[in-house]
Amino acid sequence: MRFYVLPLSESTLENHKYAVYLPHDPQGLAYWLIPEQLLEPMTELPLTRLSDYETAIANPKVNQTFVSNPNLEAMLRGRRLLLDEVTAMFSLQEIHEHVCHGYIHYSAGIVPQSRKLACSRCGTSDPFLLAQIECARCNDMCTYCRSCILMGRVNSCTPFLTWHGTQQLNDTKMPRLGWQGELSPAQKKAADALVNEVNTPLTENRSFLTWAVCGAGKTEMLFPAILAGLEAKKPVLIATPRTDVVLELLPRLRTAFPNTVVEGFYGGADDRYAKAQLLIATTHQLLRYHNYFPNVIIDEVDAFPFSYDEKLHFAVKKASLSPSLTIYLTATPPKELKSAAENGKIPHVKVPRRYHGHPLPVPKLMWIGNWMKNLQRKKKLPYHLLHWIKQTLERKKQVFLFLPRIDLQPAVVAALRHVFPEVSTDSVYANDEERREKVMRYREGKIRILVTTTILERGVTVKGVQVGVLGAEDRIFTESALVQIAGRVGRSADEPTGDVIFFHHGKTTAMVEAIRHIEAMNQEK
Amino acid sequence: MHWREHVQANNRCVYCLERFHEDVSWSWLLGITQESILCPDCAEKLERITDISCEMCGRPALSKEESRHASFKAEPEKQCHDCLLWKGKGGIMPVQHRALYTYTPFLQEVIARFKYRGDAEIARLFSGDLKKASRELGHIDIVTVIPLMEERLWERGFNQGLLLAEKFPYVELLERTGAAEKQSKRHRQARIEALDGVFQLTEKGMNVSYDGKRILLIDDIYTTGATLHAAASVFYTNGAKEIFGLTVARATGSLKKTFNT
Repeated sequence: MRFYVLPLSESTLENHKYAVYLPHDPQGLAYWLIPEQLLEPMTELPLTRLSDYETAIANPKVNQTFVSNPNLEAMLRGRRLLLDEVTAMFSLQEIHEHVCHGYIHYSAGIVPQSRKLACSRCGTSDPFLLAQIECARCNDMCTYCRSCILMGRVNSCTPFLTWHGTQQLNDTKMPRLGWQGELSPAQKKAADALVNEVNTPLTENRSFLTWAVCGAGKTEMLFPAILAGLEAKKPVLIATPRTDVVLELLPRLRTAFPNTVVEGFYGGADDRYAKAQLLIATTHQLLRYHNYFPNVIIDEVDAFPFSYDEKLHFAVKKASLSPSLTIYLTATPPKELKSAAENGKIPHVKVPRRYHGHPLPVPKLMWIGNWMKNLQRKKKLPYHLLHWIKQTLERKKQVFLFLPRIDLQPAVVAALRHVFPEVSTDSVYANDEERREKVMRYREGKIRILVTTTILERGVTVKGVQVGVLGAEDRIFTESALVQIAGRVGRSADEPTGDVIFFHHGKTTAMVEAIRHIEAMNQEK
Repeated sequence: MHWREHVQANNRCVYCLERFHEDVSWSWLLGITQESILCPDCAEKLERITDISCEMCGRPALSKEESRHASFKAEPEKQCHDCLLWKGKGGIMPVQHRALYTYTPFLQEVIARFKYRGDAEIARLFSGDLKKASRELGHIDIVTVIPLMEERLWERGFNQGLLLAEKFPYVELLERTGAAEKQSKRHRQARIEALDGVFQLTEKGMNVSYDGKRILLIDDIYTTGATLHAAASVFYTNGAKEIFGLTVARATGSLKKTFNT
């Protein structure tokens, strides 16, 4: 869409009650800005796109006497939304009125960035992902972003809206902690450090690393820090790589903070514009936020796929207030973060113990020769693997078997069913439509052997499970993946030990490093 | 890096946006083959219609016995029940139609992103093949597209038909008369009835002679054929000789409406 940019000197002003003042023009002139749809269909007026208007638009100051629409505020506060998203619920006239009184600002969708163009929502500047169309809205060639198109198309001519009225949470209820449990000494130490971080006033951007082993009880140790943030009337954001985590954390956080509006935003969420004080979102959903959160917690920072790294940083930076506090939370910090913490560049706290106080099970290695060849040619699994599975089943334990590749699943499942015809064996993969049901049946103990790829290396907690990795030498099993896989075992206080066996055809550095990592954590006090 | 990897063409898929490699063959070196714009994974999920059971509407063949080659026919003989229904419905003139692909759930996603999300680039995936498919028609006098309503045009920012027809020297001749709802939300009977007289010639369109002309209509999806027939009837009333339809997708059953805006 386009705007009519009207020099102030023109005397036709009274015809345009919806005009915005633009005082900073290079020539020192003042302009008024009117959306094309609000112009009376009269004369042929020159129209401009926001992205073509080179000067930064200076918006009016917030007019305190204007009565703003609280529903519009609820939708826009903290967010930066496409005009189309907002006009689906409010009229352009009402939106523009808020612009005239300084409550909402317009900004361009595609912006120049160091001689290239970039999407101002997702940051994409790859020319392949910025395509051109002959746009029926501006009757001109329009650039649009293909990268984040599933969230609604960002193009050159369609403006974004941001809220500039009050930013504070003005809620009557005092936040309170509804969680009754008790933190272990190790958890307590980390929780205190986090509260201290949240309560220290921000003068510049700060980060903090919480390095906690799998099964340390990460969520609980966050509670005091989240409470501290909410008590200061500041919104708290938890960013996570996966929808599964959003779904798992949401009910727990709602119970823990009964007086707080807790919302989860993920791909299939019902109300993506809901108002929230405590928010759990996947990276993608963060892109709708803008300059809002002073406290950001990034869960499992190492679980974001490598290529997403840049996107994650962009999304987090965009959603967080300047300055802000970023808390990283992980069992297996990526290299840069680990060395930054060890060199004292980022303050950190380690939680080397599980909440139940028992040491982490240390993986064992088992050489099985060229298992791939035997599987593919003879459809047979290695003797050592079958022997271990047999023993595990006899002990009435469940088996969790990891494979390096999804295409091996059918052959492995068939071979297992052949050897153990009485035992219910199944497999699950990333895009499995029955993924949730299968994991549920495994949790209930109805499936005894579950074959999977690395997708279930995190988050899945099944009591008394024993883990095997077939083909642990594969490149996909990095140190952190193997540590996470080993972390599935012994999570319950009733059964704190168990087997983790790497069945391999050649020991790799990743395997050795993973074992070293776990042993080092066990030795920390 | 292996030498082959250096030589292999490095493309990006127009749909999933991922990079992919194409094996190098002699024809590629000589520049005979076209570079694919769809990666093998995505290409595999498209179902090209090669055999049809109705020579009029181009319904895909379900069994071997009824199967015929999917090219346009000079004199279509074998016709399906629906086409005979159209014929019976008060002198409606025939529209021979062909579609490139079956409207599978995957294609539904592709078209949803193209049309509803407004990812115009996806048109490149089909425009070349539509042009190719039209070659066997012989001489065509006019190529035109189905018009959009003003509101829809504003929403999407483009008319998907125009983009699909970009390889043709198309002209815009039709416009919508009134407020018809989205076709995708209707059932068969409602679709057919709703389209009675929805199209008319634009001012420009009225200055064109259709007498004895062979006209090709381009659209995205063929469901019941109601849209194409409604547009065709405008041209037939104005003296056109033969009208053909060419679309990207042919719906064969009821697909779930999984798309949400």
